[in-house]
Amino acid sequence: MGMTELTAAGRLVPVAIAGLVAVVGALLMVSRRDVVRGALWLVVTLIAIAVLYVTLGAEFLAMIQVIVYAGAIMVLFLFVIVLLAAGREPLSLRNTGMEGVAAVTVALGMLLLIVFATAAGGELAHTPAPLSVDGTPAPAVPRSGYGTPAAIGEALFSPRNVFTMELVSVLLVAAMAGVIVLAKGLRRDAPARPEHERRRADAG
Amino acid sequence: MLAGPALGALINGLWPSRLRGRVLHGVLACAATGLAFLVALLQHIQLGASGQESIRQSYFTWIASGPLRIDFALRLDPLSSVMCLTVSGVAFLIHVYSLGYMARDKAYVRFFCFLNMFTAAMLLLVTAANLPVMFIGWEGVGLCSYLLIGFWHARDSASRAGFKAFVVNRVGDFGFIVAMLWCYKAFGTLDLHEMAARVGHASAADIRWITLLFLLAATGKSAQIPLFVWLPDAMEGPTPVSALIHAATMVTAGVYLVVRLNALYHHPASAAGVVAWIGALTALLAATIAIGQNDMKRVLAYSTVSQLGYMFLAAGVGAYTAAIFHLVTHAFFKACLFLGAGSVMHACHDEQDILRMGALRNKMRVTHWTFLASTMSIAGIVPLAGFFSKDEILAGAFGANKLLWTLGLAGAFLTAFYMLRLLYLTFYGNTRIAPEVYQRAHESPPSMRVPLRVLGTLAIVGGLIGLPGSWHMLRRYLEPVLPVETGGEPPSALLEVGLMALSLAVVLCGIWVASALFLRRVDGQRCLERRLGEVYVALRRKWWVDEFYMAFVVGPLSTLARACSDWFDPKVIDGTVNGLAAAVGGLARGQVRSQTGRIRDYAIVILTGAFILALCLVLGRV
Amino acid sequence: MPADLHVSTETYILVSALLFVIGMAGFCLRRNVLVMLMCVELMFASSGLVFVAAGRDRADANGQVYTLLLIALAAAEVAVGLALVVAVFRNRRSVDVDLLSDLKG
Repeated sequence: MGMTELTAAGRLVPVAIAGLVAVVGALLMVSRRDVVRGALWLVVTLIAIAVLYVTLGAEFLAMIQVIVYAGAIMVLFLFVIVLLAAGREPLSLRNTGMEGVAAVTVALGMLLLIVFATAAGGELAHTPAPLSVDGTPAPAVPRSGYGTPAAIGEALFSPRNVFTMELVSVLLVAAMAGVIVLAKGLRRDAPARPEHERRRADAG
Repeated sequence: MLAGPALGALINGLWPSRLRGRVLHGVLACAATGLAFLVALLQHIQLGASGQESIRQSYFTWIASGPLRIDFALRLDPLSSVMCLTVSGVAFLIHVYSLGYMARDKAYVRFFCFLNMFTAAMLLLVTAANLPVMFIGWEGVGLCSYLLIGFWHARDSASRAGFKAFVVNRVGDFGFIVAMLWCYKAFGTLDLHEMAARVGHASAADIRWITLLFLLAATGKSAQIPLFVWLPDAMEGPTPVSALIHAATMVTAGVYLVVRLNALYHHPASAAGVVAWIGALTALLAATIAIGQNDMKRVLAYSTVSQLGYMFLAAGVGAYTAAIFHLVTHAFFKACLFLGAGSVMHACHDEQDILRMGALRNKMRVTHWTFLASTMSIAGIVPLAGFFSKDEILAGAFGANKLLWTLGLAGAFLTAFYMLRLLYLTFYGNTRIAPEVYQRAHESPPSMRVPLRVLGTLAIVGGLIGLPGSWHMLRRYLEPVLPVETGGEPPSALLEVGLMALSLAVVLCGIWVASALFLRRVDGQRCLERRLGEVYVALRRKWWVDEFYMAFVVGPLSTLARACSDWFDPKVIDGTVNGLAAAVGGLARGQVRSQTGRIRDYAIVILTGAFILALCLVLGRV
Repeated sequence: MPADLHVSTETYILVSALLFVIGMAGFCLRRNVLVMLMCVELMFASSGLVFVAAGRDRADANGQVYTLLLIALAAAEVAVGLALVVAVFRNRRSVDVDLLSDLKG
């Protein structure tokens, strides 16, 4: 298309807007008293992040972000919020002063630090030249198929990452099992058998 | 074989049971000691027959630590043989005496147990082949002395006396231990024989200090200046104890130590001179104090100190044989004197003040003549045993230092004087005892009489082993162990006879004065006190030595001890420990406050930590 | 169709940093446990953004891979976390984390 025809400033605009939306959404999420509203603002933020992914050339990932993260995870959140009727409770934002101050201080400090680190530039990034999937030094500019599922798939199943991927899948299974156990509420002192016997006793 | 004496007494010593037959215990104890004597005798013969200089027997390796190897070993040589015979023989007699003396005492069994234990320890001391084993015996006799002095522990004065004896002894023991360690450093061995061979290895300073330290130990055990204060108090114990331990055996351990280490004391750099001077001064000092005492046992106690001083004098000038000779004769007559005193006390219902006695001569014949014989012996009348031994000492002193000799001579005068005073006031003249007590005063039972007889006889004839000149059996016997003594033999026979005559004359003077005061007059004591005036008070009060010690030594030390126990220990030590605990507790309690249990607080902490970490990372790379 | 805008990576990192810090502060400041979990999610998301941005910077596809795995991880974590919240809620009838201070002291 005509992307390359935009000026540098022009290219910044979508990114700036998306970024702004993300940040504002985050701020709003944290500050809403109504938890449901907060969750919805988080969805907004996540979608904004997906847009940022697109601007980074990772379109497949953007889709995943929307479908899985904003879609499944946040829906789960909303389910639980509604289930627990947590949205109704008026919990104040402010609490004992000391912790608030400390938290904000650290947060700001972290922010400054990161900004400083990035501003300091390339000296902080002493990482070796990146390698492409097949081992040859990659060009600085991503190849054309950078964000496609194929490229991601190649990287994901490469010897470097496949083990991690398998582990993560195991993690998902474990999480599932854990959730089931927690939801069911395992009771150890009431096995099924006495129930049967009780019924037989009642009958007989 | 060598263990005979030690074992014999040891078995009985450690085995007091509650048999109904008390007498059986006593007899058993006597038998054990008697057995010890017989074995000693046998060994004596054996040693002579074997032609060896000494026999060493090792029983087991006691300490093996690196290059240090100490056996539990005993050695039999002429010196230890002499000591064994004396110790076991006299001990046996005293055991027999005790059968009668302690017959009515409740703690009869305990007495014999301790008495035997003591005998065993003493025998161990004299037969030890090396210093650590000797130290076992050394401590053992000290312990038994404490137990026996404080035998009637219900009596306050007795237990205090025992305590005093032990503590004063301890000072000496400190000297022994340090000297022992120094010996190891200087000679590389603690075996007595080996040490003698290696005398050349040590430096002069080593020798000087070692001999001084051992002298300290000896003054503690043998009651010399400055550690003699315990002996008079030790008279609180039963009389047989006084006889055995504080006259014949334990107190001689110090003398034995010095003589045994003659290789060290012979060295020119040694403290032998100090030994001699301490001996002479003690001899004189104690003799003066003896004049002012009215308690029978006290007089004898100071007499012992004085006579021990003579032995030290002899050892100090190098006349080792003379020292041992006097040791033996002293054992005879002093034990006899003490037993006699016990006999008298028994008859007078435990009266000990001689100013309240008198005219017992006819009532107690055996006691009287043995006491008389021993008194004459200690005074030094020819041809009794004491004469020869004392004279030899004086001769040796004369050869070494005229001043020392003069002191010894003065002491001889005083010895004669106070002993005769004791004799006269107790046995002669008019009686000062209450009539009904006097009526019932009688001679002691046979168990007490026989030992008296034996010892009295020995006091008379004991000198035969040490006749001057070529008849000196003892010297010939001890020759292998003791070197040729310096200044022992006066140059000419004429001089020797002259000295003998002089000392005899001095002694006779003393006797004459005593007789003039106490035999012929009734108010002798008052006369004496008047004549001497204030000096007499000083003598009576023992020159205030005890008071001096109390004020300058005991007082400050006990104040320090009390300060430590009442202030330092609770406040500082407990304070530190408790303070530490409290501090830790406080610290912990402070820490606990950070455990709020609230997740958000923990989250803040974690995030702060992460921030700091990131900070470090960034700063590190910049 | 590649849509890389060639905007400097620092911008993305800045955005990500802001998001992360907001999430951090929110986590510490809110008492509602569900909101706290959402803040965690926010932090996760911001991290994902950084990965992708860095990957683009180096022309490395692994950046996206990590973000993908991160999403999976976030899903697992959310599931378990919510399950825990529900379990706790059954007993306490409240989502106030300050009331969950049984480990105090």
